Amino acid sequence: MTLSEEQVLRYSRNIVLDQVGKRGQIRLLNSSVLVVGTGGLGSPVSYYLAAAGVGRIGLVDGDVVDLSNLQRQILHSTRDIGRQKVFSAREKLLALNPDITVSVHQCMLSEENADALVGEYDVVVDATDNFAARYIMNDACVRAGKYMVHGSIFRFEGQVTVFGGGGPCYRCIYPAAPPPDLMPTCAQVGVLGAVPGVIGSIQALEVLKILLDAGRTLSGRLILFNGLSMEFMEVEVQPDPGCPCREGTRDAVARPTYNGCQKGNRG
Amino acid sequence: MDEEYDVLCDIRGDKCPMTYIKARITLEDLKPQQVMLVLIDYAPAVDNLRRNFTMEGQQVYGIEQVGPGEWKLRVRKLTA
Repeated sequence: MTLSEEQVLRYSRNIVLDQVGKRGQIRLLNSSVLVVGTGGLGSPVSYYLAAAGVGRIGLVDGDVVDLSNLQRQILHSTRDIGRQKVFSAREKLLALNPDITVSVHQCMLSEENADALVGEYDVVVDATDNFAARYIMNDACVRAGKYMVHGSIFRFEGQVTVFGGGGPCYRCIYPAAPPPDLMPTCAQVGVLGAVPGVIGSIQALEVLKILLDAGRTLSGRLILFNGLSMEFMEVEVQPDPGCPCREGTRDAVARPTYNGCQKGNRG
Repeated sequence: MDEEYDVLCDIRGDKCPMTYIKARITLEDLKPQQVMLVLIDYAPAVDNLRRNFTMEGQQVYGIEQVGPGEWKLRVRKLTA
């Protein structure tokens, strides 16, 4: 594969980087990334991946665009209200970069579809806003041996890390979801749109580093971001020897052995 | 016959930053000690290429004007 004249110009600022070059750019163009969620985190993540020339981006979302989304979900516009988010998102990504392919999966990630979806892509991005989807995604990524680039936001705070690649998985750190009653949703607690912008941008950078095999990823390190005090804190996170992901076989993380994503699947 | 070179990079017709980007892409495929001959017809690119490749640790030499508004230079790849 060679780069066209237009691709050389479009990706010139990638290509001049030692860690990218022509080979790296071709690698990106031959890569695929599944972005689960096209909201506050999924918007910056998929925008930057599309701009960078990740050849195939898969979008998973079953939701429609709502007026209350637009203060943070920058892929969508006022005229998109009522549209399926995946189609609204695809339109923007292809407008930004028609050089790539955007596959839409108009559904929520579920135990039924997770393995098939995750299996189609090189890297998976957690841009969701709920624990159920995260556990399903995590288990599918562990079974498939895929990286999961995790991000989450809460008011002025966010966190971001990389699961897989020898480091811990989501269950190693959070064996069980908190009871639903204890967890407010973003709709209840609010979030400033720039906060998912920060976290989503870091997620996109981590994905690109994984695809390029460049630098040091956040595997084994959790970044905690506080936007009010503008502080980044790094916490070392280690694999839990008791976690099913450590047993080393794809089947170790059994399909729904946990109860509705509310409990861990250990013990 | 021109002095030997391993690969020709003809970027006549290109302006910055494409001149440098294309030359860099071409150099990427060379092995250490191999030489790239670059043909240029955009004056600012001559100095830009010289500076950029020198900063990257490559050897730039043989810069000469070969006609009205045309130059050539050589880059020997020293660092990967």
